[in-house]
Amino acid sequence: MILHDLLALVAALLLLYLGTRLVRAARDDGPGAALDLFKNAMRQGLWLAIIPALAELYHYLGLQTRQGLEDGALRLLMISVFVMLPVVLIKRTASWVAFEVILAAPVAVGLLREALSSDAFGIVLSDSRYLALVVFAIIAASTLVIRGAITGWGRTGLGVLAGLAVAGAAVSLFIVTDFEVVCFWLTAFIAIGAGVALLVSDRIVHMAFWLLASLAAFASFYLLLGADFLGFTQVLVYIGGILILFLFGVMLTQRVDVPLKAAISWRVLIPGVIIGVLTTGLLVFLAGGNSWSQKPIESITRLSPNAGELAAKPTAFALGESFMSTYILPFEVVSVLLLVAMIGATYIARGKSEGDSAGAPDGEGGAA
Amino acid sequence: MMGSLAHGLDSLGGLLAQSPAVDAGNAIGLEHYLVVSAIVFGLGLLIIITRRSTIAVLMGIELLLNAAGLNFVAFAKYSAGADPLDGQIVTLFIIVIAAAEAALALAIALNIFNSINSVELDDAHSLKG
Repeated sequence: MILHDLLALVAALLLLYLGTRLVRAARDDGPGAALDLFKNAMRQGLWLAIIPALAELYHYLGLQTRQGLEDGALRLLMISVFVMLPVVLIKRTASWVAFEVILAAPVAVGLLREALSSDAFGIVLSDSRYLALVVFAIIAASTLVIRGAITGWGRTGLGVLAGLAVAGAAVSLFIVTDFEVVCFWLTAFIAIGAGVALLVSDRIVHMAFWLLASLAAFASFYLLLGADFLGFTQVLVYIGGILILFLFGVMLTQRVDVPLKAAISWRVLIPGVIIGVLTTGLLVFLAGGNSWSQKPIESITRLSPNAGELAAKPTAFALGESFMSTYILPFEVVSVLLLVAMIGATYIARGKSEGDSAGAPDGEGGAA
Repeated sequence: MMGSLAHGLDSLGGLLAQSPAVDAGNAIGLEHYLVVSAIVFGLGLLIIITRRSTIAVLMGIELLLNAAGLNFVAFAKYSAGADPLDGQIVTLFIIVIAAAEAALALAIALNIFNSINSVELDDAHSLKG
């Protein structure tokens, strides 16, 4: 089971990291510093991952047989919920309550499912509905954390943990043995997790780097779909070009050390969030509820090492041919568009600033 | 109404879920990609709605464009009678246009910053005439 091996590896690395930091603090600055570090980390919620990590390692080493609830993350989530309960009761701040709610939501759904699938009830909460609930839990968690980002108590770690908890529960419910499947779920987790982090992060540079993670995940999706040229173009153009452009834009226009202001009035925010969540829900329903006419399963290319004749083939040659024959007109139009955009961007960025800023003109050419 | 809702949920999850009965090698299908891109699209939409900084809003737009591009590639790979290359070409065009859009939009943001010393969307309300 690749997934559990991966989880155990992550858990071991995490424990190693946490232990090293604590030991180093204790050695350099005495036990008081280590205690401070630990308390600070617990207060920030960033080290909470230690609990699932410990539990996963404990299971992996065979110290206890797996039984009862679903293997993996759901069980670990439940442990986390119970362990965190005293902290929540002591702290009683909104952030801790929200954190506990986010942790507990998938557990509650899982327990419900466990109860319904026993013979005592006639109903079965099928895998499908369970998965749909988990998808919506991700959206709900992100919405909850937006409020945190706006009122000031939201932390990036909180959002990451929420995404991690929900996605972990979703992924580990199923025993995954296929290479492509593992890659897909990991990539989906990175894409969605980075998107949630992008949503809740309160520093613009952090946002840029979360965007990097999300774009890299999309490149990985393209590779998974057998589009090799597209995947590498995504890395070259998006990560190598657009993201650097964003970073320059950030550096030139904003003070990077100041958290973003997010105080939109509730009158704008509440309808906005409702619209966003509803749109997502609608898209998910449309995507999953339609029966799209699909190719027969045996003619779809695969990525597994043993795909044989179904292995995806390189696409660069065929793409070049298409660009020069079927798609020659759009190709030319897009090249003109790029030229226009280049000239326009240069003109707009230099435009007015020559007259009104005294000290800067030398730097303008380089920036544009 | 409820019936169709339940039907949607069932088919969504039936395709999302890798139940043990399904051959694990064929578990990832079109719907997986569609659902992921729908979620990323929603996140991008939420970013656009909740952020005030122009640059953060642009990042949300990049997420939207990526989600759309993923849909093109996934449909082209899985749909009956479709040539996988067509979807990839459309996505390549999307990437090119996104690059042009980002360059122009950031130039505009820079220009706004030069004239009103801020890139907050709420501050740029004097765009008239």
